[in-house]
Amino acid sequence: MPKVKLYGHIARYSSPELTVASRNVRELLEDLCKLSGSRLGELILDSQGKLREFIRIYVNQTDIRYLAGLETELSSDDVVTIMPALAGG
Amino acid sequence: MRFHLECRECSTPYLPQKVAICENCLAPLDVVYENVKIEKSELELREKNMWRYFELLPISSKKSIVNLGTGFTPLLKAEKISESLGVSLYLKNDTVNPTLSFKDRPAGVAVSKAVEFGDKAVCCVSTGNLAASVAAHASKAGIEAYVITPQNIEREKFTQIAAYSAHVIAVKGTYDDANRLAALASLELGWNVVNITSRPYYVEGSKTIAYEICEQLAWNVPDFVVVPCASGALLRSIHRGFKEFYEAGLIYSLPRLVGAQAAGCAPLVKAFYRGTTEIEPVKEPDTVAKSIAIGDPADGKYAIRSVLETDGCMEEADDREIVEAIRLLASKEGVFAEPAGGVTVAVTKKLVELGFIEKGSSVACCITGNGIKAQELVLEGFSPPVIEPDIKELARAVSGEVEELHAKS
Ligand SMILES: Cc1ncc(COP(=O)(O)O)c(C=O)c1O
Ligand SMILES: [Zn+2]
Repeated sequence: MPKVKLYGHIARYSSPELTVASRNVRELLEDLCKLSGSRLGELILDSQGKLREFIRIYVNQTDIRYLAGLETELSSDDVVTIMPALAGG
Repeated sequence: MRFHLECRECSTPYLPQKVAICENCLAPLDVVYENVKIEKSELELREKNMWRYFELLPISSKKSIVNLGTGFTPLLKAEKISESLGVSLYLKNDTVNPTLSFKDRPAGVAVSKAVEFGDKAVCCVSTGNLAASVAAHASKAGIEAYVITPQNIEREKFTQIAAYSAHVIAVKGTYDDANRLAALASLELGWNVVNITSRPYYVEGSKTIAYEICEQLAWNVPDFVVVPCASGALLRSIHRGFKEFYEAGLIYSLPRLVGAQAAGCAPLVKAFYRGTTEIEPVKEPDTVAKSIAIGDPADGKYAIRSVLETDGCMEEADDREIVEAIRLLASKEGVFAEPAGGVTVAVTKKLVELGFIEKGSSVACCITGNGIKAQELVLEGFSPPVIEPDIKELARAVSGEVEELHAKS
């Protein structure tokens, strides 16, 4: 099953590392909320279900914006990283 | 306390500690100063480097300052380019900072702040210039520097970083891959990655460019200021600098800000032309302007806002135009810029031709990095005649060239 790692303030509302049986990223976020409560969901998605501006999600090393976004499919050995969009440059 | 931090989106206040983002909405934090009073006459007497603006920089004690003599770089009138374009073009020449780029400004503040925080090591993630600058300032401060860069940056930049004895980690991938790794180092390992972990302080250094332009134009501002954009932080900081001087009553108008990007990595320009501040990131930047090749610009939205607020614009130049501009600057004005500097001049030329910059306007271009840091571009096709040390051979080598050379008698 895919593994999820949460970092920074996002990890406050959940355990920092879990395993979920989700088929894509959107489903994974829904599953996370069921496990960890709605505050986590609100931090990650806006009221229209869009990824919030200051959140980044990676499947393995790749930003999901370069994949299929929230519809990006997950396979069992994927590692999903959810972290604040920490500015650099 | 002279300053505190505040969330850029929801205005939640924070103590001036080592924090970069808001706990509530995860947006970036900014430094906010309280009761700043600056007198022109007093300012003009101070030492000619960026630390003359101490009241507007987020360092608590002057004792923490790590000073390499950065700033108060020349504002040169580019006489020949001005004449050919029909504008008054000024070059803010940051190629002559201690490590040869404007990054000495933000790195100077960030490393001073690290000293104030009691850090024994600093880190940064960089396309090369910041790395050199952090390394040099860490040397001066007597602390360790760890720099994370994409693997493909210019050799010259590695040379410079190595000379300052920094620990270099080169990452396979783009700047954004390196940035993600550095963000994890900040979150998981607690490293002070200065442009991530202490970013609110770091970005403040760059606004001194705006202050200096005001002073160097005798407290006037140019009609336009053209700024190269990667993450967008520099442009936003320069905007903040002009606004702060305006609000302090030191200047009476604001310049129109132009953001310049390389066509091979121009997410801000693309968003600007789509009429949005929503940035579509560029996965694989492809340009000779490696120092500004950031596909996912962290301050992109804010840089576009600064441009809109000042009635400016975003524009791009392709690699050929950038190299042409580098050659023009060097051959006509005696300033040797790296591509990030070339891009501002190339964009200025384009905007004058398009009529966006009207003839007769005054324009300041930020020349943010030195050409010696990206030598390949100008050395292409360069092969000087090699001769014996013989006067006849010398005469032959230049025969048919320049009469001025033979004007002895
Ligand atoms: C020479 C040079 N100019 C401009 C920039 C753009 O800076 P920013 O990321 O603040 O937009 C950089 C960034 O590394 C740079 O190295
Ligand atoms: Zn906030």
